Amino acid sequence: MNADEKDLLHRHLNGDLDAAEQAAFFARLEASPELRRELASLALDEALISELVLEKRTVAHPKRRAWIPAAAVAAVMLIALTLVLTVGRGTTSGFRVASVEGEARVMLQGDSPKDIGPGFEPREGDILQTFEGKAVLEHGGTRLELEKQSTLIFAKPGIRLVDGCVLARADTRSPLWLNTPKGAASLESAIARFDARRNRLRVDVEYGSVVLFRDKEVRVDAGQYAILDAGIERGQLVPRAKLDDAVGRACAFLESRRADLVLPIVSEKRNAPPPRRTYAELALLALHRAGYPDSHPLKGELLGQVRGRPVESTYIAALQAMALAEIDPAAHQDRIRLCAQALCDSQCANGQWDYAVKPALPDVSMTGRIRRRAEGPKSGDNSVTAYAVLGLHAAARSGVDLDPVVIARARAWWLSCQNADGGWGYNEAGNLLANDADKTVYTTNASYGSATAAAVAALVALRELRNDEARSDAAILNGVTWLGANFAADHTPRKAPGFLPLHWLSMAGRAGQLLATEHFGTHDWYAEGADFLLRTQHPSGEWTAEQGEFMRAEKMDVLDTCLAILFLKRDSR
Amino acid sequence: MASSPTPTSPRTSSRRSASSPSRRRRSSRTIARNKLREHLRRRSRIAVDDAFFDGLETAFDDARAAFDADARKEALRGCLAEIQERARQMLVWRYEEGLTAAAIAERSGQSRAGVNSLLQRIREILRDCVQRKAAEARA
Repeated sequence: MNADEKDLLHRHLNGDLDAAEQAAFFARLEASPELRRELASLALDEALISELVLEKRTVAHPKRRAWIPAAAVAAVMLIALTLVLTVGRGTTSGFRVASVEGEARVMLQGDSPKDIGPGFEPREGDILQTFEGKAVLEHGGTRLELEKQSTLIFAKPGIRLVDGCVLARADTRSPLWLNTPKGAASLESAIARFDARRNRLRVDVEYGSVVLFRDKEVRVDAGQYAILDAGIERGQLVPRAKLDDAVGRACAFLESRRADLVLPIVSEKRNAPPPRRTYAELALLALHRAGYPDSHPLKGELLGQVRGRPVESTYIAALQAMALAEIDPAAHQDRIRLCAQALCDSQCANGQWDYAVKPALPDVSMTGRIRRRAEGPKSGDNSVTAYAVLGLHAAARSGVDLDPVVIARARAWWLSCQNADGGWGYNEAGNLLANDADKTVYTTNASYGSATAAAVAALVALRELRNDEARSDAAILNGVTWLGANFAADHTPRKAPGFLPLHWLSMAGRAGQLLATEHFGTHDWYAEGADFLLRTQHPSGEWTAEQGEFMRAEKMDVLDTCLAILFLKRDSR
Repeated sequence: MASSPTPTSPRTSSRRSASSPSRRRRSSRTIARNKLREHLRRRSRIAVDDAFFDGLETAFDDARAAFDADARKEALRGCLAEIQERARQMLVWRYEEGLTAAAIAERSGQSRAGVNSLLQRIREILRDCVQRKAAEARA
């Protein structure tokens, strides 16, 4: 390979060749096997470098297997040969911005970003970015609905979805080619959702079919989903219309019980005076997931309640951090940091959490690391500990830098209390030796579903926050194996029927989402859980799955309905 | 609240044809070839024949066969941590933002030739680094 060819090759990879130079490059490519080999070699490296650079955007995800060996030659080749496609500001992409909700900007190659509105016609090479709002693009009969906080590039042929991008709905009437960091997709006359977040690609096909490119062609038909990650996961979709109907009725039920959403509950009383809490955080998060706008009166009222009262318990701190981090992490950063500080200051000496938090909180700075400034009680229980960890995880995902000591102590606790069968129990008051014989069935240390799912979710969240050089991998794997062997959607595994099944399902869902898996063993946790919920919803919209005497002070219909909405409208971040 | 997606009936027949057996049989390689052909014809007026694709596919098949992506990715991860901040910024512009050399030049205030040269140099540094790490792993 001579110097000219080398120069052409690298400038091709840099998107720097004009049409004449491109023709010259292709002519050389046709004539020179050595140049073809060099292009192939560099293209494979480019794909890996691209993946690694994009990984940096989403901090602290667990390392994943590279997909290149399994990738279709066709897809890699096409990507390698079409790097030129973002040269300059090319011809029109054919798309037109039909509507913008909130704020969207387009970056023209070499120019500053500018706000755009309906009627804007992006061109090849343009980068379109949405912020706290959505955008709709149209081209002929094709319609693309771009979610908030998404970025795509018009790079003929087709569109490149940048990591983090979600096409909520692609309704195509003509061929559409999509490139993503995980591979390419082709669709024509289909309706599908593309989620390119978390360094993977999930495709839900509602109508027609989508062809994905891996080591072989993967065809995803209507009613199916497929996820390209280290491998390929496939399954059946839960019908969207049924989901939307169920969630709509559930929200109407919550609206009808407004008074109960803000009713103080004082059922928690270990190690401290009973802290007051309400369902405001949980209901706020449920309504947000269901798609309620911030302008909705009930959502606005709950948001005001949540932000306006003291952080009095671990559940409040954790759920508040989770809800506010999902609603608007930047706008609520002050409150999220307050919750994170409360959680850090209330961690028990053994790494668990108890119900009560340290009530007095000096000013929490808006910047810098949240450091542990106090110590909680000696010990707590695994159930509330999982919530505390997930609250800290939500805070960290919204940008809060957390004390590594808190993370390390929590992880050490979870690793210390795993049972030999791979599952986890309740471990109230940190007692590793308690067993069924002398305890109530509710607080056994023997492994059961919700405790195991909570532990897996917590350990995966902690690993995401701070890599532990694979020290928790085996524990997580054993926990997942336990979940696969024991999974059941209609009751908490290894517990009497009726024992908090919604708490179990919500924790199983959280574990599945954090692990980025749709399956525990052979069980498609979401499909089976959703099927159970759709069958057991009352005509008036609520769920009352809990049937025992446990937690008598709770309004179980309100609690179960919130948890059911959160399961059905799961967070796919 | 999200509305339920219901395909409209007037387009049903055209959608059905999209799922015909002949479409199902189209291989990913054929689709890739056609996409590239279309692009090259429209953008650069370049015509390429099947021999061109056959040669390329052989090169890519061979490269893949000799490519341990997991090991290489881990080595690259380490190498990326070693490169200078300026080089890392170049990679972000190129691979995260999809900027071309010309756009990076405008963004960074460098010449286009300088950007091309730097990106080429970064690739060479990374390749050397990966090879060095592979040799160290074997030793």
